[in-house]
Amino acid sequence: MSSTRVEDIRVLALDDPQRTRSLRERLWTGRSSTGKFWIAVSPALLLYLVFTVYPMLQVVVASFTDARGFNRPWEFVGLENFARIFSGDPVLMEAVGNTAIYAFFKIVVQTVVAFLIAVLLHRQLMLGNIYRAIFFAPMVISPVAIVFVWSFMYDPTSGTFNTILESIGLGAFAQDWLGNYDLALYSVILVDLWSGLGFNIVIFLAGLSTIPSEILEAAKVDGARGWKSLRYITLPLMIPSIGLVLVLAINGALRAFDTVYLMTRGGPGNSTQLYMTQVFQEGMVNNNFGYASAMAVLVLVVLIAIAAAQNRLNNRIAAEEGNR
Amino acid sequence: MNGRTLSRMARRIPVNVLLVVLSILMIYPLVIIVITAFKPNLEVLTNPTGLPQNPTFDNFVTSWVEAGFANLFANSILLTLVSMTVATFVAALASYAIVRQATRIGSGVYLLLAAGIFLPMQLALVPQFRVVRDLGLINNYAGVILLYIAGALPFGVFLMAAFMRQVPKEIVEAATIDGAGYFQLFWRIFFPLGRPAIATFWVLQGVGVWNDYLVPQLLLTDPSKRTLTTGVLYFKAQYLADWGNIMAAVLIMSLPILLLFVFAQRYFVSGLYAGAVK
Repeated sequence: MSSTRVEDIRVLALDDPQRTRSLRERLWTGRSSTGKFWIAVSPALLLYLVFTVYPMLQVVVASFTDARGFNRPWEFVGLENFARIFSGDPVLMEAVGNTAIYAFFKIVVQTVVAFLIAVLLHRQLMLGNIYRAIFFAPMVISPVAIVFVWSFMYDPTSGTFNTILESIGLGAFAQDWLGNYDLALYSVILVDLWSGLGFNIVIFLAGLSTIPSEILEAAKVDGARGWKSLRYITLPLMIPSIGLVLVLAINGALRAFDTVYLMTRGGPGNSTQLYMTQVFQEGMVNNNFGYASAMAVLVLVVLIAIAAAQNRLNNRIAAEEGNR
Repeated sequence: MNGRTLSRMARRIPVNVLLVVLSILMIYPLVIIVITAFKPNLEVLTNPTGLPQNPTFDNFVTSWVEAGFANLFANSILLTLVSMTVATFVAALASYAIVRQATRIGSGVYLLLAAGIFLPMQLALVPQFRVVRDLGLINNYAGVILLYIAGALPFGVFLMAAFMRQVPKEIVEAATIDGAGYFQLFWRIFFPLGRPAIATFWVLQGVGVWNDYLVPQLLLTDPSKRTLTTGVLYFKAQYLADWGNIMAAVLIMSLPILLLFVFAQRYFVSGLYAGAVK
C-alpha cells in the first residue's frame, strides 16, 4: 500500500465522526478482536504459566507441607515450616546476618562510589566512552568467568592480592582471603561490588542527564561551584535516582546467589552463606523442599513489597521528568 | 590556544587522573584474565601479577582441545539463538495483542506477564526441574530452551509493549481501512517498528542465556550437551590450579560477549536502565 493512499483514506475515515468512533471501538476494545487477542497471547501465556507460574505456585503450596526430594508425596503440616524459621534456625540466622552485612555494603559503598564516579563521568566527552565501557564491562561477563578470576586473585600462595602486598613490604597482611572465617564474606562482597558498580553508574548517569544545565549555570552565577554545586544542586535533584539505587541494593542483596554458590558454597562453615544460597542449600542439597519453600515465600513477600516501593519511586521519577 | 582554554584543560586534569586510576582498578581483573592466559603455567606461579615474559599460545590450544570448545560453542550458540528467536516472536506477538486490546483483560494479562520480572527463579528451580522431568525433557535441549523462553518473556513483553504503545493509533486505523488483517498488521507494522526494543531484548536476555550456568547444570547432565559455562566449570574442576589453561578457557568463553558489548553498548545501557525503572 502506498503511503498517499493510506493518508487519503485516513482523512476520509476521520471526516465521519460516527464511522471513526465505531471503527475505534471495534479496533481497540471491540469483541471481534478479543478472540484474536487470546490467540496472539496464548503462546506466551502457556509457556509462562507452565514454566514460571505453576512452579512458583508449587513453591507456595510446598511451603505448607513436609515436601522432601523429588518423588515422595507431600503432607500438609500447616505453618510448621514458618514456625521453624521464626524460632531461629541457627544456620538461617547466620545467613540472614550475612545478607544484612552484604546489603549494608551494597547500600553504602556501592551507592557512594557509583554516585561519585557518575558525577565524574557525566559530560566527559573526550574519553567518556572508554571510561564507561570499562566501568560497564564487568556487568556482561558470566558469573563463572568473574568467579574464576577473583578466585585466582584471592589465591593464598600465587594470588594477586598477596603478591602485591608482599611486593610492597606488607607481606604480614597476606591472607587466605576465601579460607579465613572472618574475612571470606567481605572477599565475596568485594567481588559483587566490583561487578555491580556499573549498573548503579548507569542509573546515576541517566539521572544526571535529566538535570537541566540551566539550573547548574544559574547556580554558578550565584557562586555555587564544585562541591557546593554538587551538595546543594545536584544531590537534592538526584534523590529519586538515589532512592532507586538503594531499593535495587536491598533487592540485589536478597537475590545474591552466583558468587557465593560458585566461589565458596557458603563456606568456610556458613560464614558466607546468604539468604538465597541457603534456600538453594535446603531445597536442592538437603532435600528439605518444604522448608526451603517457606523461606522462599518469605523472601518473595519482601521482594513484592520492595517492588511496590520501587514502583512508587519510578512514578515519582517519571512525574519529575515529565515536569521538566 | 588562549589562556582560558588552557586553564580549563588544567582543571580537567585531576578529574581525569582520578578516572584513570579508578578505571585501572576496575579493569585489572579483566586484564588478569588476558595476561594469565598467555603465561606458561610455571610463570603464573612466579609472576602472577605482571605481563607475561614468555608469551605462549599453548594454553589456548590445550583448553580448546581438552575442554572440547568447538562442541561447547556449538551448544551455547544453538541454545541462545533458538531460545531468543522463539522468545522474540512469542513476546512480540503477545505485546502486540496487549497493546491492541485496550481493555481490562489486556492490562491484566500484561500485569501477569510483566510481574515475572520480579520473580527470582532460583527459588522455583526444584518445581521447574520436576515440570521438565515430567515432560521427559531432561538432557534434552528443548527443556532448557523452554525454560529460557519462559524466563525471558516477562522482560521481553515489558520492553516491546512499551515500544509498541508508541505506534500511533491512526496507523492501525488507516491500515485496517486499507484491508490489513489483525496478524498482517503485526507482521507488517508493529514487529518492524519494535526493532529497537527487540535489539535491547536480544542484547540483554541473550547475554543472560549465554552466561547462565544453573539451568544447564541441572537439566543437561550428559557431557556432550554441556554449554560454554558448564563446560568451563567442569574444566576448572579438572584442572584445579592450572590457572593459565583456566584463564584461556575463560577468555575464549567471554570474548564473544565482550565483542558484542563493544558494538552494542548503547542497547545494553538503555535496556539496563529500562529494566531498573520498571
